[in-house]
Amino acid sequence: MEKNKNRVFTVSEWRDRMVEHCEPKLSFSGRTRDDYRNWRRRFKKEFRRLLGLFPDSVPLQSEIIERKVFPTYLREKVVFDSERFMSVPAWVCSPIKSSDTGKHPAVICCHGHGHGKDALGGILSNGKPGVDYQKRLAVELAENGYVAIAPDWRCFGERREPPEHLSHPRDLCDLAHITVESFGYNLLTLDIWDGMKTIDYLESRNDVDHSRIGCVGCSLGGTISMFLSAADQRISAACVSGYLMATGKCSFSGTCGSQTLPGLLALGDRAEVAGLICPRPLLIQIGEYDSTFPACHALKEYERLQHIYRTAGIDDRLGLDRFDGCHEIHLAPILEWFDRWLTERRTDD
Amino acid sequence: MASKGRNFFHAISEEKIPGLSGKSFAFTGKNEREFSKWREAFRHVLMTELKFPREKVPLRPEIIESASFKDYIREKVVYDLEDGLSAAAWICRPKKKTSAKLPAVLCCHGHGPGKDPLIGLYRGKECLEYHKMAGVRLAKKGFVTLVPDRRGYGECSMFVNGFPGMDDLKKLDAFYRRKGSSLLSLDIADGIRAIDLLNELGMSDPEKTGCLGVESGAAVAACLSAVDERVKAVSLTSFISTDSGMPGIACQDKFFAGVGTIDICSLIAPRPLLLQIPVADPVVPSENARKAIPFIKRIYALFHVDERCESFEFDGVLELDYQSMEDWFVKWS
Repeated sequence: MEKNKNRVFTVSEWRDRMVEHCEPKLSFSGRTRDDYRNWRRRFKKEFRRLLGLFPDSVPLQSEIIERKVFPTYLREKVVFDSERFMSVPAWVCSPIKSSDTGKHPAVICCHGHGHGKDALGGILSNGKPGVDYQKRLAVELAENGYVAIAPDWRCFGERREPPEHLSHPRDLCDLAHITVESFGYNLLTLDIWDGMKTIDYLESRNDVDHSRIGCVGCSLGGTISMFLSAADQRISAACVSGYLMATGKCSFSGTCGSQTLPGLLALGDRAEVAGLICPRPLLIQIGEYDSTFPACHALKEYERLQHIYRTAGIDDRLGLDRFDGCHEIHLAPILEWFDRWLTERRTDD
Repeated sequence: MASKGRNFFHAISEEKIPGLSGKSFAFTGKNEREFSKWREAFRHVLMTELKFPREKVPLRPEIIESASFKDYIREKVVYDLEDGLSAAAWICRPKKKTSAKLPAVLCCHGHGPGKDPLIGLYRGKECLEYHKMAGVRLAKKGFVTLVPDRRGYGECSMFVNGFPGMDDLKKLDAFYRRKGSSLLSLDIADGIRAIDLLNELGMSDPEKTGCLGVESGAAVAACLSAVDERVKAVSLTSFISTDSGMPGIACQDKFFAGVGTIDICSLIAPRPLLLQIPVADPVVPSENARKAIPFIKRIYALFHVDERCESFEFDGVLELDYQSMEDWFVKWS
């Protein structure tokens, strides 16, 4: 077929052209606090509509099925139910109990692509202790006084399909997306739901201070951290690493079935979703050499997000950490961020 | 099917080489003289095993592209490796003219689309990734950098986007092994020719040639520096380890499966050697890297040149730490 400039034959090119001509209805362009308030009310409603169907709540019936004491932290494996036919396994890393403290701030650590929750607990895919791009975040947080919980998202870790269900080269997230769609669900929404149930579980623990819950993740973990924090007000401080960037700037293969919200681009983009975290503190991390989320594109979306926080009049609650690194968690600023926003009770929200 | 003592399939990925372990080449001597003898013997084994192409063909370099930027010049050079096989490389150099000849750094790329990311490009578009544009940034600091495509990568590739996967490289390696060589051997031989090219082009001081490598490129950089004394300073990222075999390499060459990175690094002594260890390296566990360092340092201590071997650990994944690498080459050029 002869190539004709006016015709488009591939989905990737179609996407590029659609993005160019897309006019999102609720892109934030306000100038005043009132503009922000109005926008927030409208976008929040639309965002809830886009998330679509949530499953019915069921009792958590949580169980601690494993417990191991390390010299600097305690690690438990917990399992709880998130819907009638689905359970969620998670690592909980917590400080070694000292007699003087009762309740700790908590952080939900959202894993990215890889082998699931284990990476956040400092376990490599071969089962040995080690560090990957997520820098054993749950362990580090526990050592710094937090109760850190790292659940497996759908299709990852212990929730991965057995090998006989995998038909390479098809992506498991994409297959799962199609599967849940038949029942009227969106896969990302179901992961957000599991995140909400993770907060329910944290609230059921007597060592967690409910008013001080944070959320963090890199890559797919950044996606879930951002969407979960936008959807659930119980999260009072967040960090999104290696993710914030205009959807249309991602490479064609730079996303997966776990990371899409159908219809989002007709209304806004990632800056608007992250804008729902406002007025709560939000740290954005951008690796200068992250080839999946190039800094030049990430910064543009960050500027749009910054405009939301500025218009709301609280831009000191939006942080930016541009660091000399790639697609990875940058540990030190995350620990500082949560120390700043979660380690003393804040009542001014 | 559980039956003791029976194997029902060959575990192809973990092929063990009988009688060959990293330890068999390890330097165990106690003084400079013993080291020299060991080095000569091991280098001889290495050179014999490498099975380089028997005859060198003339390089016949041609500069086919030249672009001038604010503070550096970037050229593309093509040259011959074998009868019927050419290579392509970027050369970057500072724009500012000096009377003294410039130091040079041969840059060996790791996995990815070849040489382009080292100058900040991928498929003609801007691209920043884990090599951190080392080719350009060193040129801005006064070095001539030579960044060739390794076999199977970039313009020297038959694979999609010049970006081979591990399976692609294994196929290419199998092809070369049928011809009596191996992909890694040829990459090393090509690296040696790249130094010949630098000297032939005459842009840099032959006495000041450095070499850097990241991931599988570090294996190439290390091995070629081990056998070619013209390399005067080396920086290796994500390489040194107590494990045997060459990390990140698709090559199934039995010889290289039995040689340890410690052995190869030992051959570089007493020349300046920087070993970069990213703590979250997915290729080489940083713990194993850390354990290997004393073995190398011991050799530099024999020569009383401890300052010529440094390890640098940093909070990173598979990535180069640019600043410590630049400082290293500035210090030793």
